[in-house]
Amino acid sequence: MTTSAVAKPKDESWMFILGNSDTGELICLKRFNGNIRSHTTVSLSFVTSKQLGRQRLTLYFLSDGYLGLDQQIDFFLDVESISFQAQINTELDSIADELDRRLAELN
Amino acid sequence: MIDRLRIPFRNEPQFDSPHLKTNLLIQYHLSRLEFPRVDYVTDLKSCLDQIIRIIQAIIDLCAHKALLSPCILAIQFLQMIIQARWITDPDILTLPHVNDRSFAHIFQSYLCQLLDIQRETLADLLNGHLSNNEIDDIYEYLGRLPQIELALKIRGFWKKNEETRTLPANVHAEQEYTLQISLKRLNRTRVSIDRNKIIDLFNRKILL
Repeated sequence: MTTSAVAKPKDESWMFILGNSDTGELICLKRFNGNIRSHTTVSLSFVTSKQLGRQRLTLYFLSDGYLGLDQQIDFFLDVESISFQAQINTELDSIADELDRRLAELN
Repeated sequence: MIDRLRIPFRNEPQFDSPHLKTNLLIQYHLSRLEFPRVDYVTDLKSCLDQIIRIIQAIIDLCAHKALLSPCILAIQFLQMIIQARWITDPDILTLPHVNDRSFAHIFQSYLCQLLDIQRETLADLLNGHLSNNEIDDIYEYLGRLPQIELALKIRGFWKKNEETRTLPANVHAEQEYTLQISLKRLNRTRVSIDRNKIIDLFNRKILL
C-alpha cells in the first residue's frame, strides 16, 4: 500500500478525553497508540474539582482515523468535601510506588 | 476551481495567498474532487504531509488550555483528513467503492450499525449496485473496523485504603483519582489484528 509519501497504512490510534460538557472544560486527554486487543485497560488520572456537588462528566473515546466510530459515556460524580486523610493517603501511595520503582531499578 | 468549494471564501479571494491555496487543496481533498492540473496533486501531498502534525499540535494545545469542544473539533478534522470525507457526509461513504451519497438510502444505517452485518445481508442490500468483488471488499473492510465496548470504574482513596468503585460515585474534592477504562474488542476476528491498519482511502484519489 505504500506507493507515495502520504500513502502509508496507518496504525489505529485512539484518544480518550475526560471533559465536563456543562462547563466546556477538558479535564484530561490521553492517547493510546496501537491496536486494542480483546481486553485492554487504560488508566486516566485526573484531579477532582474544587466545586462540591453533583457533576456530569463525559468520557469521549475518539479514533484519530475513522469517521463515525466515536463513543461517549456520561457519568455522574458527587463531589464531597475535601478529605485530608484521603489526600495524604493518595500522596503516600504515589511516593511508595515511586520508591518501589527506584528500588527495582537498583536491583 | 473556487466555484466547487463546499465552504466558500468569506472575503474577496487573494489569489497569491498560500492560505487560500491550502484551504482550496484541503477542501478538494475532503470532497475527493479531481484537480484540473497534476501540479496540484503534488502540492496536496506536501500539504497532507504537514497537516497531521499541525492538527496533533492543535489537539495538544487545546488539551493544555482545557478547551473541550475545540479539541474534539480538531480530532474530527483529523478524521476528515484521513478519510478524505466531510464529517457532515454520511459515514458509510468511508467504505470502499461507496462513492455516492445515494448509498445512504441503500444502507439506511450508520457505519457502527453495520459492523456485525452478515455477508448475505450485505449482498442483498448491494446487489445490482456493486459487483460481487466489491461487496467482498466492503465485507472485509467492515470486519476490520474496530468494534469496541467500554466500561468504566474509578480507583482512588476514600478513606484508608485504595479502592476501585463503580460509577456513579462519591468522590472527595481536589483529589487525584484514576478512571479505569476497560476496552473489549468485539470483532469477528477474520483478519489477524496485526494486519489491521487504517488504509487511508484518500490515497486512491491522490494517486489517480
